[in-house]
Amino acid sequence: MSLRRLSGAGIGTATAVIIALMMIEGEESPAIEDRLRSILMQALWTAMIAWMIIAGSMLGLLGRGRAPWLQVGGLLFLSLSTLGILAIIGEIPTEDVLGGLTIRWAGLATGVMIVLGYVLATLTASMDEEEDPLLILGREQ
Amino acid sequence: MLLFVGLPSILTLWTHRSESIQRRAFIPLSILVLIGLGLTATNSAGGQVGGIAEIGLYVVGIVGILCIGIYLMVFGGVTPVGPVPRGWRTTGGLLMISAVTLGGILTIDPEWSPFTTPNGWDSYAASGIVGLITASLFGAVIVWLYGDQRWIALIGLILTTSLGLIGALLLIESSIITKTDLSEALTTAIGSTFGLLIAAILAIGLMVQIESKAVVPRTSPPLSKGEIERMEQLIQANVRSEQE
Repeated sequence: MSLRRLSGAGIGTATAVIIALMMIEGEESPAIEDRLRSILMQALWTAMIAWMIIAGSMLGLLGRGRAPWLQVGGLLFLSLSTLGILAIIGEIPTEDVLGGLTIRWAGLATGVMIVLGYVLATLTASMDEEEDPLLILGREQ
Repeated sequence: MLLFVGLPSILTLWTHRSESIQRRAFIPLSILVLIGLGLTATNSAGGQVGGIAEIGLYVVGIVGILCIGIYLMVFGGVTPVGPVPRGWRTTGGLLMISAVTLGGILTIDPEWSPFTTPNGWDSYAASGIVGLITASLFGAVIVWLYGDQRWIALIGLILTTSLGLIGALLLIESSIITKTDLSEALTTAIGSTFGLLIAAILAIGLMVQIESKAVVPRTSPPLSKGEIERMEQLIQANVRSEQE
């Protein structure tokens, strides 16, 4: 499947989900500016944490030349710069915010995991039994 | 501290290669962090962090059962790699259903339930439903585009999406979750997806930039005449022994 079709599927799905859930939210749906600001903040928090985790996962490569040092340094720089930007605009996540975010991430991951498990289980259930070609050869002889 | 430093740290350790020291430290440190979370949950009940730790413990239990169920269902069938003996698919399916049922009981909190629903569980449930709806709809579109008449998977995913939407409506009607929970979960889902995309694009860009400027390693000199002769001798010896 091409990347273009995959992107199209992703954008289409995201639009359908957003419309459906905004219809459920009804009048309690926040103003578009508030929602965009909130999305931007959460995107920055997520990116900051993701860069930190990627930098941490590369620590084992530090003894292998100059490039890993530069990469870890660059990722930490990106992460700390994001923290700096958040500090300037006064949006450093507090303990409560991080707590709420952790719970919601866990919830989203669980929902996705259920679907992924179901799809994999269904696909492997419908797979045909493959017979060993050597066994078939032995029977023919 | 355990929640905001411990969890990302063990996640970082998990990303290391399987034979590294960091990866070997992953399991004992994860157990220590979980014990720490358990102690926090029982010592400071009512507090924000205590509440989150309590939810974390329930989540670990549910996700653990779910993971074992998925593993048994996927690798207990006909797969090119099948480390699980045949016949464990049913057990896997039962475990998956048990995990979802346990989550449902904690969300609905019926009178006969032996579990006490922790504060803030509604936020977890709302996020779970948003994740379920989004992933199943995306999965349905992908399976449909892929073709190959995978009707069972497609119908299952469409049913999951519909059940998720109906479930969300019913839970809101019965005031188990609020529209604000759903709204926050939706915002987090969109924000996190954007954040991960930004993080991935910039991290990959950075790595490509650094690697493309790295010094090219010195290539080895061409084979000498003596080395070529030795190689031919070895090949001849191997071919002869196979023919014999």
